[in-house]
Amino acid sequence: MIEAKALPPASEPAEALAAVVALRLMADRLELRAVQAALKQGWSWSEIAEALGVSKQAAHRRLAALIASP
Amino acid sequence: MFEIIKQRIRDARTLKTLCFGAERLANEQGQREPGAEHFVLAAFDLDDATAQLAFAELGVTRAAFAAAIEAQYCRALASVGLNVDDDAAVVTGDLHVPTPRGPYRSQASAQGLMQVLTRDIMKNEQQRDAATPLLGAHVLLAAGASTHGVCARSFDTLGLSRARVAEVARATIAAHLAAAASA
Repeated sequence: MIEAKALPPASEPAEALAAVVALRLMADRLELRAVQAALKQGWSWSEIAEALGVSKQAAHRRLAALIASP
Repeated sequence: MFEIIKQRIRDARTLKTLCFGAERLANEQGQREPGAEHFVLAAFDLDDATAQLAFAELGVTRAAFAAAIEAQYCRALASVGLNVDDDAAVVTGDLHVPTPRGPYRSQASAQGLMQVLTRDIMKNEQQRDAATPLLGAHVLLAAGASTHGVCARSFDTLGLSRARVAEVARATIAAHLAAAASA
C-alpha cells in the first residue's frame, strides 16, 4: 500500500518527477510481462485490451510489436 | 579537405554505431526506445575507448554506471514508498523486446543528448579543428550537460558532479587528440 505521507512533498519536484519516471518505466515493464504471460496462457488481444481498458486496436498497435516472436 | 570528408564519414559511422548500440541496450531492458543513459553505455563500446578512459579516471566502470542507473530508479521508487530489492532489477533487468522496425526512434533525453553532441560540442570542436573526430568521451561530455533526468541522477548516485564529468571528459579528449597528432 502506498501511503500519502510517503509521497515527495510539492517542494521537492525533482524527487517527485524522478519517481514519476521510475513508476512509468516499472508500469511499462509490468504491462509487457503481463501481456506476455496472458498471450502464453491463450488470452486473446480482445481480452488483453479489455483488461487494460483500451480498444483491441490500441492494445495491439501499442503492444504487439513489443512481444518477441517465439 | 579530403581528410575532413573522410573524418565526417567516420563520424557518421560512429553515430550509427552509437544509435544502434543504444537501441540494442534499451531493447534488452524491455524499452523500445533508447534514452540518453543507453547512449552513454553504448559509448563504452566504441573503438576509441575514450569513454572507458574518462570513466576510469572518474573511478567508474561500465557495470558501475549501469548499476547507478538501476539505483537511481530504486531510490526514486523508495521516495514514494515502494522499496525494491536492488538485486531485483525491477526497472532495468532483462526483458527483451524485438528491435523496432521503421524509422529510428529514441526518447526525448537521447534526442537532447544528440543535439548537444552535434550542434554544440562537435560544432565547437570542429570549428577549432575541422578534422576532430567524434569520440566516446564527447558523448560523456554531452551527457554531463544535463541537469535532470536519468543520466544526471545516475551521476549523482555515483557522487560525480557535472563539472568533474566535463573536466575529465575534456581532458581525455585532449589527450587522445594529442596522441593521435603525434602518431
